[in-house]
Amino acid sequence: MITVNKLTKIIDKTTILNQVSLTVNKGEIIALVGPNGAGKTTLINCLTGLIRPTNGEISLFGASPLNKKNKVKLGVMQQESTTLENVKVKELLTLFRSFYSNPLSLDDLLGITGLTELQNTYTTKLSGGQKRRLTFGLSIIGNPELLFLDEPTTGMDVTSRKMFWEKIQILKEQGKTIILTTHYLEEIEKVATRILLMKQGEIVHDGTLESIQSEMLQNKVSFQLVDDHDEAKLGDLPYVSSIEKKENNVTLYTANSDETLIELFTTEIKFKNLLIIPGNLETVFNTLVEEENE
Amino acid sequence: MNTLIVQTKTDLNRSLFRSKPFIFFSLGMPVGFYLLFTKVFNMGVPEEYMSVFYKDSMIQMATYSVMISSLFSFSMTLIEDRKQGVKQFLRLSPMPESIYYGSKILTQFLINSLLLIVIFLVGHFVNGVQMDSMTWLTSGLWILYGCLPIVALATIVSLVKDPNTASVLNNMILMPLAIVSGLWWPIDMFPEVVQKIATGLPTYYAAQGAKQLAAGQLPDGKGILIIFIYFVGIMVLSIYLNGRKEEIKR
Repeated sequence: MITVNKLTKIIDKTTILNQVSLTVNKGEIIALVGPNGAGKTTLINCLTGLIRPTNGEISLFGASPLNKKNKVKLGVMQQESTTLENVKVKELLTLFRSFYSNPLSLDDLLGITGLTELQNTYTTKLSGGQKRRLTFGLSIIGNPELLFLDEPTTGMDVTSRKMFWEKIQILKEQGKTIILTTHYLEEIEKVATRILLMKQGEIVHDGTLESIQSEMLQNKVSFQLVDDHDEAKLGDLPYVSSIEKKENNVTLYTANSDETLIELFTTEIKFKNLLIIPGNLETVFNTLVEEENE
Repeated sequence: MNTLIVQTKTDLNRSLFRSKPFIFFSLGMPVGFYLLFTKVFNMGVPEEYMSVFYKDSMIQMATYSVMISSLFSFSMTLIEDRKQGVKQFLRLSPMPESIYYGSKILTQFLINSLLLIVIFLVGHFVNGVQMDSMTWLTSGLWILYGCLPIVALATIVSLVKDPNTASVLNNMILMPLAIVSGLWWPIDMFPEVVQKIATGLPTYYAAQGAKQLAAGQLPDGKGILIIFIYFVGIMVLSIYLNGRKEEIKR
């Protein structure tokens, strides 16, 4: 469905995407995960044809993303919600429906977005979560085969979010292909068939949730330091990627907790209250973000 | 075709029927000033000149009204469309962009025509301005033609990122332009330099030509030409600037 070969995008001499290669098959639900500025939105914009790549090739349904014929099969939910002053929910949906020759019916759209009762409300008066749902509704108006969702749940409350993922599940069962970006990792665990971790314009991991967990998970080793003089030794421990220290409470992030612990004992660092906490996706993500910030 | 109707209807709701600022600035203010000028500040106008004064003031305020709507409403709608991702959505949809622009032009034409009709009605019923139907029509059409450069200018103003900046910019353009073009006071009241400038402005001819038509004359050929040159020139500049902006983003 999508083939990307060595895609590079440079904007103002900054490399946003660096030699990204990727193949997407029909029916996949792909989560693009990564810190802000990793290039997720730029990648989506290249795939949808909004921006042109500096280098590399993209094939979308066997043609260039710029090909207007592709647009019928495409739906995009942008990061920012779409609302217009003095335009009601029903009217905005009607306006955007008119852009397609075979759109979903207005009733279906109101049902999917859960905005049936708010159809006569001005779009600017909606709550943040309702605006997100409306924008989601706009993205699926043309009943697309391929759907891009850029941070769909940001700003949604718990109810909106639950409803949203139920709809995604339905779309998944219909065999739609979905590529989405998000910051909420616990949500995608249930629905995503594949996860792409992005960092500084590159895909650093491409696989299932399980493969990420086995490859990238970092266990946490935490304890209280008895002797402050031992602090200097902490940095020499093997497999430790980062150290957090609050007063004498130390947390180590390690890719191999066994080896780290053995070394911890042999160097005779004095500690108490040792805890080993298995890593989760959230920690992987946080590590990525932290590295980015440094 | 359906798209054109739906979009035009939506845009008319947005920038005309449901927009209080529009009703106030584009319609209320020109009508108010017209009544103020002709009913209150009319001392010193000779009796025999009164009917011409009513007629000319009506045309000046009608031109002013169309100028406001062409510049403000149009640029603000374009900015909102861009900020809210409507334009981006359009580029991602199978709909050709030409329909979008077609509808914008149609909407502006309808809005401007409505403004003219309202102000002409006020002129006719309140101040008893009399013209035959052909003259009403031709002077109205002339004003629409004369304001085309302003419509084009709005597409340049709409490139400004922030609506507040655009609003300030619009005000900075509109007021001086209206005054120098003789829409508030006759330009013979101004120093010679200002009069020279006025005769180089399209908005001066927008009102001037309509007044000539209303007096049973034909508009100056120079006016037709100047309006046309401004329109084409600003349009070319706008297409260039718009294209450059898109290019940077891509």
